[in-house]
Amino acid sequence: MYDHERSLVNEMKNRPFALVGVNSDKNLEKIRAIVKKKNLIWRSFQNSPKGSKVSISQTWAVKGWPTIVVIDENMRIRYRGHNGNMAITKVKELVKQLEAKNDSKGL
Amino acid sequence: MIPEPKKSETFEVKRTIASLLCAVFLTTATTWLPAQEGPSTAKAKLDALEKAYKESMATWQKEERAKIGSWKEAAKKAKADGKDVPSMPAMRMTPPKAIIAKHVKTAQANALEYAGTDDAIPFHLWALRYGSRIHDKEAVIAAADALTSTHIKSSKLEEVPLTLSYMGRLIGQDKAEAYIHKIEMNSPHADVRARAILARVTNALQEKSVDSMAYKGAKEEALRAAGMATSAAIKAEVKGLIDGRENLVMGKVAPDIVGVDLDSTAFKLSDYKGKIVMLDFWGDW
Repeated sequence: MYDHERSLVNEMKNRPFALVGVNSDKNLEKIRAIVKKKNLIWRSFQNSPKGSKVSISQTWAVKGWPTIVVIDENMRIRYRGHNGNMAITKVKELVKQLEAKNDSKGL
Repeated sequence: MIPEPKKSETFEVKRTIASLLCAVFLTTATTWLPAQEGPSTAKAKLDALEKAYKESMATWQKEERAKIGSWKEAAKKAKADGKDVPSMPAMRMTPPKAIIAKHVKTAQANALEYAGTDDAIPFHLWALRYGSRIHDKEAVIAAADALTSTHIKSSKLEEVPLTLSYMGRLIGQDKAEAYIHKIEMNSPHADVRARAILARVTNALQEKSVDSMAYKGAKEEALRAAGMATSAAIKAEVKGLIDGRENLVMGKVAPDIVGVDLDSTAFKLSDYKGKIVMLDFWGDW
């Protein structure tokens, strides 16, 4: 999945899109090394930072990992599931629609 | 004028004070010196049990892989010699019961050693979980009986109701539910009772249609559990369960995330408002 996501981020450069992770690993040193080694060029939240009582995954009722949520420009949920390909297809569709909307507004 | 004490009297006073101090030390030492037996020893035994189990599993997996390795060699040789290739040996997907059974027995022995104390609880839980993997009904029932009778007043039972909820297939759904109900009715700890309620209703909350009476009833019970709980994690779990069905769905506005990145720099999901965001819950396993 890393390759697909890296590919998507590169394809969507300078377009109204962001890939944001929520990472579950508790060993920060280990995960930072992985991010560097595998060139994961997107930002990730820590799921349960030190001192937190509630994790992001608890708030978002995430039952299985990985889970992918696609959110539009108004923060509405447009996809939620485990299928990376479906999520990427939805992203491309929404980015295209948003760009057309922005173009028509002269943005 | 007060006469100065004689040197011998001063020595006697000092010796008396020293003796008194020793007596105080010896009579109170048992209360403030760390005990020879106690949580640290039980923890060490639990860690040792986990380690031994992982090592058994690793050895078994290595043996299974070696079987395939040997077959590949034999197949290669057979092909080279123009002979029939032998059939690939069947690989077990689960370890032989005997491997896990011996660790369940260790857990049971440790539970007996710490019988009546909170230190026994993790070992009973271990026997419950791993006993169920090998369909050892007797071990599971023995652990469940101990946890819901001897330890019913303990504050350390939070993990027990959910674990019991998975035992229905092995020991019968009614029996599993009876154990959970016993915890709900008899634990003096709000968080333990809340966990028992959640163990009872989570399935309906996750599976039943949001318009159904079953879902609405489960939601009411889950909210009651969240109301009684002191634990922020329980409250968040209930909120997450309900949000997951009612609010974190297509078309609804996503809640903001206010957090820190992997370099511990603060940022928010709403920083990306105006863009299409793919939010990926991931880990490197």
